[in-house]
Amino acid sequence: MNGALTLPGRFELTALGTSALLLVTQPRLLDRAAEVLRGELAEIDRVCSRFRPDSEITKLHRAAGRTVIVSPLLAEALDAALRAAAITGGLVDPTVGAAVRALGYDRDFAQVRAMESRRGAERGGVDGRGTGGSAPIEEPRPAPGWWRLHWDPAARELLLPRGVSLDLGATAKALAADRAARRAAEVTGCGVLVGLGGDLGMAGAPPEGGWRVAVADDHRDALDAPAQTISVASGGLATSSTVARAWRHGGRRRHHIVDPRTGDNPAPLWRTVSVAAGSCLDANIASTAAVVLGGVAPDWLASRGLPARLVTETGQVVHTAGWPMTEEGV
Amino acid sequence: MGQHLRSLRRQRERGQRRVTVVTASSAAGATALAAAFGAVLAAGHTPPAAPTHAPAHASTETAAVRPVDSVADVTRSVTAHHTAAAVVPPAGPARTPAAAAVRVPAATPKSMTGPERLRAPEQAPRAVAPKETAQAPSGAS
Repeated sequence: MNGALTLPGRFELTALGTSALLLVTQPRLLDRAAEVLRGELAEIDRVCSRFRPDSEITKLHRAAGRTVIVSPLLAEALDAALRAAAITGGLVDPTVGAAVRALGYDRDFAQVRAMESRRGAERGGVDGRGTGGSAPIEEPRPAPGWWRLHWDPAARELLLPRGVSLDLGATAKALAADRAARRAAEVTGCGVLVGLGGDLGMAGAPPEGGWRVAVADDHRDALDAPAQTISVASGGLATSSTVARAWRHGGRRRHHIVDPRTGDNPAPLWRTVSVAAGSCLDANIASTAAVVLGGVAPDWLASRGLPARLVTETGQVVHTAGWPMTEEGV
Repeated sequence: MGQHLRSLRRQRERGQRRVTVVTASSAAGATALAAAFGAVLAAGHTPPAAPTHAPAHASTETAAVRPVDSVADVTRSVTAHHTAAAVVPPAGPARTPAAAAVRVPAATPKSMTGPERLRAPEQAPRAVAPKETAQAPSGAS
């Protein structure tokens, strides 16, 4: 199989506060696919970024308490987020905006880390790995609940109740990966893989043997030091982790995954969960829910036929539903 | 909910007293009062306290109690109104009859779109020999 493999066309850029990767099976079509990807990322950022004062979701928050008609893309993102909440019983809930901010994730993540480093330096040179972080401690804020949104998808009308803050971050990023891959495959007619911060969406005919994917805690380390290398033919693959997007706040280590029921980080059990599903969105929903679920996550994933790789805080690995058992370096 | 029902019951009793007072002179007046009382409740305002003593022209005829049934109907409609209001944000403005008439999108649970289950992949991932160069990384960002 190795001899028949040809390297796909590859394009990378920075977007949505993370790195974006584009692979196409026909390198000559890379430019066209890249154009599609740039357009999709710009649109999802313009619509869903909670850090941009001019984004549609920021304007939506300003209009809380009134019924507004949202754009088709925000409607799709809302549909995705509310479906995630419904099918996980609220484990993945878009109304965690205030909870995430209370944990200290109140600006672009690069700025969160920069501020943390400054605080650490002021307190004696410690950064995110030390005891830095002098921000006042806020009580965790349980999510108000996704069911409080009044949403009419046919009319694209939303009434966001006052006091409810949305964070579409995780599902919007995965949705963007699916959309960009599907659109680029339609435009080019070739196989496309789009990776956004390690969440992968695939469309079109894959390369022979499937897309080869390196899995690790942090996607930036994956190619150099993969925990496992697998191949995936279609759908999506997502990894949620408590180690990559983490910071210190109020003297405690925090990360971006919030249990909507408490408004706090879930009890530590899984540090990384990777899931393969029919789409990147579904994989992302499942991997996030698994981190929140804790000990029952393997059964939850297996009962849904979702292949997954779960790694505990101490490095023990659990596989479900046909995820390959081989581990590199084991 | 129990406290809410007790409050409604107290309001109804006050209404009964007022209806009794008015119907002593005019059954039509009682009907008008009941309608006005219902409008006040629908607007979400607490009705003024019932008079502590009957005016001099008050009557105690039991036949005058009959319009109370219409007050009971109003109470049921008020209960439904408050149930619907429970899904709107408490931090929002007080709901007036005019505000209640504004069309509000259906509650989300009735309007969710998309598959109701997470979709499993068509094929499970396969292991690839470690020596093969991976094309894409997956991990948290």
